[in-house]
Amino acid sequence: MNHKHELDNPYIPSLVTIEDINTENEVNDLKTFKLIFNESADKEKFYENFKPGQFAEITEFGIGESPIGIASSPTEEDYLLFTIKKTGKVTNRLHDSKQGKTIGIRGPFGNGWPLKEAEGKNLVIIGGGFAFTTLRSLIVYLLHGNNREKFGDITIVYGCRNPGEFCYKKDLEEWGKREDINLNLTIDREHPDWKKLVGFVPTITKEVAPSPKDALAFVCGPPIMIKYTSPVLQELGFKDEQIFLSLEMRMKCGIGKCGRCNVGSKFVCIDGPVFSQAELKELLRD
Amino acid sequence: MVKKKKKKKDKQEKQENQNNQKNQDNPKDQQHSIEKIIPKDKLDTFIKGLYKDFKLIVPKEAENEIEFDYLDPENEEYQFPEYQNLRVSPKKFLFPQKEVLYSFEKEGTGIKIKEKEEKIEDQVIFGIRNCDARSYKILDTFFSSGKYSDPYYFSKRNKTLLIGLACNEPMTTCFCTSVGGAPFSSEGLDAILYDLGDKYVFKIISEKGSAFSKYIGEYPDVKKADLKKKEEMAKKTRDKIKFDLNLDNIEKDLDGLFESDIWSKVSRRCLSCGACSYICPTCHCFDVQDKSDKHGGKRVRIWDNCQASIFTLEASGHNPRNSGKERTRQRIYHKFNYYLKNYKILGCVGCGRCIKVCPTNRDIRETLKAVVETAEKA
Ligand SMILES: Cc1cc2nc3c(=O)[nH]c(=O)nc-3n(C[C@H](O)[C@H](O)[C@H](O)COP(=O)(O)OP(=O)(O)OC[C@H]3O[C@@H](n4cnc5c(N)ncnc54)[C@H](O)[C@@H]3O)c2cc1C
Ligand code: SF4
Ligand code: SF4
Ligand code: FES
Repeated sequence: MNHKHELDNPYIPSLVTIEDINTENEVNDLKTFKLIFNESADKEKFYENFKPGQFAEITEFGIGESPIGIASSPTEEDYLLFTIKKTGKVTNRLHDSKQGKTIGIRGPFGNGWPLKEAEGKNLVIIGGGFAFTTLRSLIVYLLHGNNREKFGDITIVYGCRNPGEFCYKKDLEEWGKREDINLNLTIDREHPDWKKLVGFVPTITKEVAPSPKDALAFVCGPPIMIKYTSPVLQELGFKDEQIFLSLEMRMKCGIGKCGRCNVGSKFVCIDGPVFSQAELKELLRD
Repeated sequence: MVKKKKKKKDKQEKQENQNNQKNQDNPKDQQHSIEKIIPKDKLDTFIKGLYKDFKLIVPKEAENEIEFDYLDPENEEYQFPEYQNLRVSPKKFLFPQKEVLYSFEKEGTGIKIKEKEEKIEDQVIFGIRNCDARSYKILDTFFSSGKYSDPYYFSKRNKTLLIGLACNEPMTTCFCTSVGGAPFSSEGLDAILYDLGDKYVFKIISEKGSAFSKYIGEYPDVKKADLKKKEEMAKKTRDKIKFDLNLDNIEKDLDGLFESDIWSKVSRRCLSCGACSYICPTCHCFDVQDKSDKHGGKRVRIWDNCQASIFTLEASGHNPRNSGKERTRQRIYHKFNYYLKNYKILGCVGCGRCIKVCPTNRDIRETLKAVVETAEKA
């Protein structure tokens, strides 16, 4: 067993302070929280095992805890970002928060996107709606410093219902200018202010995806998007082993103990949240 | 570091466990075996000896039933009450129904976390049956599995020794022998008592259990005749368990039946009340809740169970286990398929409590029989 965790209690959150809150969308139900660790020792520990694609448990003290994908990259060393949709108890309270407030964090949890496997390959990164969070972490990581040269072509498909729903507008602008990635932003239906692509994510994927040879696909989005994107990738010749999906299940502990997030014999919190399509086919799925 | 050693041993046990499931004793532990006779009228003296060094949790007469509870030997004379097995297992002593994880205080906009300070004394659970001892082996495996060990469970578990009482009278709902246990098995125990009618045989089983040798020095050694009687009784009691199902292939059987229509059939009468999971000595799922007032608050975990629809309900309204069919299937697969896949052990000890507690008389043995029979036909 990992020596570190023998001493640490994985149920106790570290304290972080909300440094900034940024409203992402027009309807104002998506906010990105910028968090700073109160203790540098906690920060160091967090970054020791931090990879794009992981999540953390965010605590509103006295209210509860929610699993949230980490939107910042391990290469952004000074802060953590979480983009949170206003849904229920915990997320509502977070949305009502002001700068300077102390909240709790446990993590990072889960496996993350398979970066080792991705080295030397062409990547197609497909996201829909606000589920783009951990894909932002991934892209920032891929583009950081010398990391870019370890990977082949990078194609991004990011779709939203309408232009007002895109998160990370500053990042998107910057990525759009780069020659070394192929960024495709699309909305579901025509909109007067929109000059980019129009069409659902699966349709656009079909048009822009690279050849499946030496390629991997990373997919994160609402169930309906995943449902229609997988067949398109398969049609393009991607095998089950080349398609990676990030799953969501109701969670509490994040460490494989509370027993509620299993898909067949695996726990999404510790064995996932990222699974290859091939792994998922092996599991007994409700 | 002590824990680390234990982990390693657990791993070995994990692997041996499945083969051992049909055995009576763990051969590795034989070297510690010391066997003594405790006359019936000396049980209380023996217990008073133990009490000097251990808190004692024993089966005790409560209002309407017999319950595990702390003993106060200074004011109580102890004899075993009459019981087959207790309605409620002693799970809660290591995994309480409600447990504080930490508390916190508010300080302006800040927060101060206070870790739980628990002074846990060495304790003995006395008179535990084989099935319940094996349930702790299952919880040990689960709570130490993977990257994270559960500190709240092990803070208590590492201080707890188990002295069993072999079963002379199994209940009609018992089926331990189909899931690798036996009424006289000492698996999972640190020491065991066998009731031979006019006396007890006391046997030390585990390395940890050798701590008990200092309390039994004065008692006479067992005689051949006693051991013979013990063996006869072991066989006799074993034969009293009428339900006998071969579950050697249960993992494979279930692999092929996930989409079978037997799940709608066996769940038809299920009310999703969750009584079966709450009463189960091996179920370990929990919910986490925060409580607070204006000065601070605490986080607690509370037993939860997979039979409730809210267990997997997501904030979006999506629920992967929306009906009794999926939830019954989850309970059976978790215990008889996922456990074997992940840890090479079964997640059920055959105590039969879920059968007794079900308000609509659902019987897990019938479900298992249906699984085996359906798999045979397929
Ligand atoms: C791996 C993972 C990554 C996620 N990433 C994000 C993200 O980046 N941004 C975001 O806005 N949301 C994300 N979610 C969903 C988010 O966890 C839920 O929306 C949130 O827990 C709702 O909490 P609540 O208290 O506001 O809602 P309530 O309905 O009051 O929920 C009560 C509690 O139930 C649990 N719960 C309810 N719904 C979910 C759910 N869908 N998933 C997990 N636990 C749930 C939580 O413990 C929650 O506190 C993610 C979920 C998972 C599993
Ligand atoms: S499933 Fe039923 S028989 Fe098996 S251990 Fe749990 S309560 Fe006992
Ligand atoms: S998933 Fe269900 S059967 Fe398994 S331990 Fe939890 S409550 Fe018990
Ligand atoms: S969230 Fe508790 S087991 Fe996965």
